[in-house]
Amino acid sequence: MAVENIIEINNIVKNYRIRKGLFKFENFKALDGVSLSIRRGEIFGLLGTNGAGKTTLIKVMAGLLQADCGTGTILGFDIYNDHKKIRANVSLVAPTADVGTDNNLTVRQNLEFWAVVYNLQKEKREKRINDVLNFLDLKEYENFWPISISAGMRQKLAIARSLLVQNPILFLDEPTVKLDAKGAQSIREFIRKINKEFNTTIILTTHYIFEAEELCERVAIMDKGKIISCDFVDNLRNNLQKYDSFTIECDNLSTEIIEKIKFNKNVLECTYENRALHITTDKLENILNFTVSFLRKENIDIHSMETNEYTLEDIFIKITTEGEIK
Amino acid sequence: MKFLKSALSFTKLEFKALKFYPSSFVLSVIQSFVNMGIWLFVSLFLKQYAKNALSGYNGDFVSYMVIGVIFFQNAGSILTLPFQSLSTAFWDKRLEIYNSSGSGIWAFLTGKFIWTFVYNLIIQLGILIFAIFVIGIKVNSSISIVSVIVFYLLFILTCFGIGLIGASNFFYLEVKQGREPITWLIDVLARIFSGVYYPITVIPISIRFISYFIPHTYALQGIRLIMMNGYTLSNPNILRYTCIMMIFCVVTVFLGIILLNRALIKAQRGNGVGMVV
Amino acid sequence: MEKIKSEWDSLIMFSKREFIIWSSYRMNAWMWVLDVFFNTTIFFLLSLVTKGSTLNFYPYGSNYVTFIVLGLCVYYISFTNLGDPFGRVSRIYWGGTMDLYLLSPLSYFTPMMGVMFRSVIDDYPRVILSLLFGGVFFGATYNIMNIPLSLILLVLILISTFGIGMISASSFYLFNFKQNTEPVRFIFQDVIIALTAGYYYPLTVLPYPLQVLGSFIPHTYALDALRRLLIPGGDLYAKVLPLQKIINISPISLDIIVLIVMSVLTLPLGWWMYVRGIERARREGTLTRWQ
Repeated sequence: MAVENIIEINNIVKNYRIRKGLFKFENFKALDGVSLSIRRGEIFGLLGTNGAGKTTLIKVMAGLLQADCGTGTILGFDIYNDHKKIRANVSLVAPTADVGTDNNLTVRQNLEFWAVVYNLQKEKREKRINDVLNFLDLKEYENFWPISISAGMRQKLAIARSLLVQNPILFLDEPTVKLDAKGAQSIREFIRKINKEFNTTIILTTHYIFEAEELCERVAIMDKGKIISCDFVDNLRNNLQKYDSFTIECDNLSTEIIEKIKFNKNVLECTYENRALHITTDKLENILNFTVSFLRKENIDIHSMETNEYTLEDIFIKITTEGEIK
Repeated sequence: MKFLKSALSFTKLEFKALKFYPSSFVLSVIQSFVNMGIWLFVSLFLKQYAKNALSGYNGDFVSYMVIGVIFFQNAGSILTLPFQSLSTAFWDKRLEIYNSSGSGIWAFLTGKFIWTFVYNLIIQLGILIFAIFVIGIKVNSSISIVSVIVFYLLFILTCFGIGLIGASNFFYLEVKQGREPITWLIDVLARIFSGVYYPITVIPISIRFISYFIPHTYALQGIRLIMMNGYTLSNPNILRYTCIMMIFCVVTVFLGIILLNRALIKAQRGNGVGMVV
Repeated sequence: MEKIKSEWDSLIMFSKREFIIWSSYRMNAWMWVLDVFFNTTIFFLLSLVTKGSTLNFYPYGSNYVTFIVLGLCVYYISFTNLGDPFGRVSRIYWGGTMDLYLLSPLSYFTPMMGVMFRSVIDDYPRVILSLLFGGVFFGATYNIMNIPLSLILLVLILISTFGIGMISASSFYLFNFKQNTEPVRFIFQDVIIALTAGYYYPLTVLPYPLQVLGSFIPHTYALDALRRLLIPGGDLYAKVLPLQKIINISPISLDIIVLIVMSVLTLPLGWWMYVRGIERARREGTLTRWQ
């Protein structure tokens, strides 16, 4: 069944029972009325502080955890009645690299095992395993024991395993943790590639905000079991960035010059520190031109200049500190 | 002193773990009782047929069996302790951390040894008291407690020494889990040849010589003679066994320390003591 | 049909994996064979304690080695079928692989049964080895005429112990026994069965209350029937078990009926409880240690 929104969940609530004493339990609300729609073929980012509910939400969407209330469909399957069908059509990479990796089997033997478990057709198994090994640069390690390769490579093996079957949805829970920069970069390239080639919908959680910024079209930011903000990255940035700013590197600015710049009604903030003149304004182009002309007129040498754009990390910190950006 | 403090911190850790799961103590007690119970019933079943073979023990097969099983139990767990501790710590990725601490892995092993010994001793004493006063196994009214303690401590330390020798295979033979061959062999040979379940006199003469190479033979023989026949350390046989046990103890403990130390050095020079991370 | 085939293929793959792992521990494999030999040796030497006396443990003939060997056979079967399922579910949980198995097309049971194969490799052949070693080295003799019926009894003890094992395994999720020793297995395997199954002595040695307790486990009936049938001189008609004294049918028939009843009761119950356990864990979020 082809649906535009491959994932559609509404008002999902999930409580965990936490033991507080021998016979005492307490309810912990992990998800508090979460609603989300994800389109087919999207790379969707799920960000949040530790304990925000990201993993719980992924488990609910993957059919591994039953919500207490709310409604939802994944690939058109109901999350309560068809959880087995959901699970048969999604893939998952857990954050711990060693999960599902048997240290008594070689890298290749591990993949051969899972290929059968995932019911990959016999004729396709060898080729698929080779493809996955090559793609993740694991081919030369195929006869190594997992205990003899680094944690990063074991993480790649975990990713390789989950990609044996080309399911329409792939959940990646911190897939590049423990990887070196090169390894992480290749994983990100791979994520883009499978999304592009197979139109796989990818739901990614990560603590590396730049990673979400690089890969995701849309992100949801969670905190305390709620989705505080969910939008395209550019929209989030624009909402935050009501004001622009720029920085000019120059020497020996007198207080008088700074005061003259500040006098301009469109200059909201002006500071000079460590040879950097930083100006916040609501009219970037005008004030930038004005400042540059003024400094030249005052015979001030300009060494460099840059405009400052808000990153997703800025957005994330602001949202999780101050709440939703309106 | 610093080393002892470090070792005792590991002992304390085990105690705290027990406090968190107190039911595990109850289950250990029950299991030990059951194990004793099984052999008690075996001896009850065979006692009427075993009088001739047990003539050296007043024909009392039941007391013979129960005393042997009780004292053998703790020794068995001490024997496998060093290897099992290394294996568990290795797979939990704690071994490297222990190794990098001041007192190293030795404090860890010593701490575990102290805990296991005390823990099992408490259970063992309980079972022994139960066996004497409830089941009615016969012990001599004038037991020399000192003699029993001496024999028992030598026995336990010897088993620990053998355990250390076996633990060195963790690095020498790269046996990382399952059973370690040296301690397995000693345990098996002890069960067959040391007289745990039957006097060594029933073993065919052609293979009986093996019994004399196993420390358990002398330990159990000595303990039985002390408890059932009332012998003391001044008895020539007991004195002989004591000397033999002392030799076993010194040799196995020193050899165990040397071998495990060398194995650790070998590991540190090679792939390290922990897993590749 | 397709589903059954894929489950079967997966089970074969699990078996293959477990066999690779088992055989990679070569030393362990040798120790495993020798273990059986040494266990049988211990009891053979124990039987020498009775030298000079005429052993008689009516109605099970007089060959103590055969008596013990049959006890060991049932012990090895029980050790795997009853003792292992909980441990295997635990291994899957602590290995973090339960999620991955659930995300596959496999049923709930295939992973557990597949992982159990390691114990099957370990323990089932020990049944044959102990019969072999007993016969070849230690003077055990067997009444070959009754082997077909004995095989049926072995199948029944296999099923009934597996049913109890499934009940034990279900407690991992159903009652959340994740850290401590699991009580069903402990109470049955490590206490009741260990003491009252009669692996190493006839039930009649036990005090009567323990004999009654032994009446509730399948091992008692399996061993009673196997020993009567396979030990030369075994009496097929004498009634020794408490239930045999109450119900007026032949002891062997009663043993078989009880084993069938236990199999029919425990296996579906264990199955059902296991599924309930997984469903409960799914609801409560305790399916995996990945948080």
